[in-house]
Amino acid sequence: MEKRQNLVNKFSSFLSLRDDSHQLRLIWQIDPELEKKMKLKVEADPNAKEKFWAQYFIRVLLVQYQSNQNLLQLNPECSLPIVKRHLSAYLQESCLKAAKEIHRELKYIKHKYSVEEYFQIANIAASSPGKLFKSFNFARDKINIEAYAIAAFKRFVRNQIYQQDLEARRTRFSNYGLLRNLSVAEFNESLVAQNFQNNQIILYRLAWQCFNEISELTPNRLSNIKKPSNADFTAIASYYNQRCERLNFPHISANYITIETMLSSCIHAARNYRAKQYLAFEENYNIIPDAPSILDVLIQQEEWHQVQVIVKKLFTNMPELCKIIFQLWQGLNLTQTEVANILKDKYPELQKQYQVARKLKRCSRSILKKFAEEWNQINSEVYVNDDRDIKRIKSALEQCLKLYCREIYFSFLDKNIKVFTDEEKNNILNNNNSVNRLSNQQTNYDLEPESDFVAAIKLKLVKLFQCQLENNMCLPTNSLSRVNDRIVDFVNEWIESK
Amino acid sequence: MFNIDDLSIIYPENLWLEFSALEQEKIWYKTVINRFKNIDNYHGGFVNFVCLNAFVKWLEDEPDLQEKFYIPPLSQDLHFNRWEFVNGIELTFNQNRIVLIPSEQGDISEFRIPQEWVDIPDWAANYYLAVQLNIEENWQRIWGFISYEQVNQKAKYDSIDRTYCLNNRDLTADINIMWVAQELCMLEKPQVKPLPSLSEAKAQEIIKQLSKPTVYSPRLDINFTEWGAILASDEYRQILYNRRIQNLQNQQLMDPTGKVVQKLNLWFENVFNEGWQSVDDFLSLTNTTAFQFRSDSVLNEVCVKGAKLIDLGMQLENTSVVLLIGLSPQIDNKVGIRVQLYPAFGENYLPASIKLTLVSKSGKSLQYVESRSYDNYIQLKRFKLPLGKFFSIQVGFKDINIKENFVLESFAYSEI
Repeated sequence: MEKRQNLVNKFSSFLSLRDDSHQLRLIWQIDPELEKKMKLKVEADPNAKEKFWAQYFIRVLLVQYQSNQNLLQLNPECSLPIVKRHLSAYLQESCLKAAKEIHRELKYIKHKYSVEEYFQIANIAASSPGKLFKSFNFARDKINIEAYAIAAFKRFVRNQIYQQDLEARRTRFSNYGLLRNLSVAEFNESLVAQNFQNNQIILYRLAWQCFNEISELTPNRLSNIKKPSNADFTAIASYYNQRCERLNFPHISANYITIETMLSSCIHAARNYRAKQYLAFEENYNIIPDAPSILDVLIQQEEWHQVQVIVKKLFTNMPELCKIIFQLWQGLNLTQTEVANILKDKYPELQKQYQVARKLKRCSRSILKKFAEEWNQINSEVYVNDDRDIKRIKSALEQCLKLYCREIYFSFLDKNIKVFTDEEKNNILNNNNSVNRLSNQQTNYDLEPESDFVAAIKLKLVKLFQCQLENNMCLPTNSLSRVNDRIVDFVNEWIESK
Repeated sequence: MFNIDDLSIIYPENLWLEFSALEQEKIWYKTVINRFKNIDNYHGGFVNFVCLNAFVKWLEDEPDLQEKFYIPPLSQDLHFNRWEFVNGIELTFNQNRIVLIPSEQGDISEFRIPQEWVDIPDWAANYYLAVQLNIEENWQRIWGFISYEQVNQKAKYDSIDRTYCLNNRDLTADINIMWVAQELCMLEKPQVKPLPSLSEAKAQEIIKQLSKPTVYSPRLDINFTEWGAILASDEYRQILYNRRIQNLQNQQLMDPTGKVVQKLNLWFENVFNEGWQSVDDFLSLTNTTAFQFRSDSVLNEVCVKGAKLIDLGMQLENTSVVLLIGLSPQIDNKVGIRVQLYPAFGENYLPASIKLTLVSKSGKSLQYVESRSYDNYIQLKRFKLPLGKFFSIQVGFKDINIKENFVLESFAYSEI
């Protein structure tokens, strides 16, 4: 089972994945302590739904973090560690969904991670829900906690694999090149990891900064910086002494040997730091949450219909190529690389992912601008005032564009289904409780056999749909075959929606 | 390890820009070297220049944005006399101010803005853009932006490097939002507390103190209000810049007897200065045809060639000549040197009786050659010198002698 149905389980069980001969097996493991506590809560308040509990736990966390007081410590049923674990249990499906989405989005990168690995990484973030929900905005996000969590997990996974790549690169750097490549944050953390005291760290940081400003670089070769000469170390030492005095830091006057020794310790710390498996979740910093804006509320509520009307109009007036890219990207859910692969024969300017990305950026910019203008005309009392407002309406716009692109494709399928006999229609549409896949994907979650008869009808529907898409976008026949799995997914979603 | 294709898939919201070719990069670099004369601390200027160049090139493909941009021409001192002191590039978009802050660090968990860009009233910008450069792999990305107001609310000030430090999460990744905001929303000039103005005498005193050449920027040498006041004034900044360059040149380019010396080993790194250029650049920049170097076959064995236009001007009856030097390292740790003199600007012949002489460090003439009536070029006999030797080449005509001094130190590069 991919999803848990039972309310108590939702807050007390954890998912583990087993890769079993190319089939991902999902195993739910119940945590007896959490189960017991959750049962008590549910019994005390039998009418409360899943959403209520999720919001309740988040609220407890946020109050705790913002007031920094253990107000709820008095109630042992609701101690902070328990609340955190309930929440991380609740987020398991979101973790898996984020892992699967990111697995698909990053299908074309060189170093491939498995769904399981992505899930493990996302789960690190899920196990620190306090940090995960730090920038949670009740007015805006409570309606869709899952969407908030999935976005946060995906961001976390992206940053983690980028960090792992940085680690892999450390071997490329000479000792002093590595020092030049560090950020201040990394530098400080690397020394903290070596148990340096705060006042020491400041002096080392100053020495490192003087080195950064004085070390000579040959062009293009940040990574290969040689060890400074004694004369350089002397220059660094004199700059260091001068800076210490200017900043009134108590220090012992440094000479070239002192500086070399200090920098060697920094190199040692940096090597260790970049060699560690990067699995820390966020640093400590204070978030000042954005005050909920009236725009947030509007966008979520009565104005939604207005948004749809504007989007429809804007989409219709977009240049043809933009429409095609948007439909493939948002409607069919293709990655930008897949879009490039499909369009590159017909459009020579779209060979690579980043070319598609730039084209998309250009179209999005123009549609966002027009959208904001229209918005201002209609809602003169809630004017879009600054970049943060634009960011808010942008997410509404994106959501709406996605829906609209999908609607267009749904209407194709609505038409296609008419060529089938009633019996065939019933067979397809009534077989919707299992989400089966026709393609040979490596991750089949449900293995109920689908009858050959139904499969054949579905295949026909998929083929018809593919032809129609190709015609609609004036693409050569079969050019969409390479994304067959996405088309099948889409058809399945359409069937589910019926 | 990830390349730009992978990275742009991982971070699709960022703006990823590739630099064209390594060769182009070298030209930028050389330009920077030429601008920055012989300052050791040119790397910051180089990084800023590469960043700006890639940005300007990208804009060419975005006409809707480009038409609203004002970017001072790259040749202007304005950029360079700032880069000498502070990291960052100022641009004007739709009357608003944008500052690009490039960094070569791999980690993008934080964004640091030098205090100058926030606290000097005329420097403060409406938006700050975080740029990560990877010069070795030829790409850069704009990974986020933040408005002046947000910087004020969220940044932490770090007194050690005088920067405002922001967390990655405080920035917005999609810069489209910024472009649209600038077109639709009324942006005000950031309200910055004015810096106290300096008396003329005080300013001169500070300039004198800071014009002592250092390989690092003097930005942290005095307190910020004074430093800000100097930097904010175009006039003071220019004076300080000129003085530092002058002092550096005086300090670095003189040999013990006070002469300007070319370090020939830099040529192998494609670093030319003081009017010297690689022959390829020389040909393209002066519209001199390659045909003129007709004896190139003589130089075939040579691996680096530098050329300098010697504008003899009034001194030698308005004549210009091109001095060409070819270097070829030998197995015995010596360098073979070929010296030739050509007429410039499409002339076919050298003036008669122009004299090309090799002079030792002590001033002794070692060999010379003199042009006859219709010589296309003249050359010295090829000679070899061990590393570390000084020598001079003298171009003489009538009573005038122009001398170029050279030294060849050890090679730093493996390509030789």
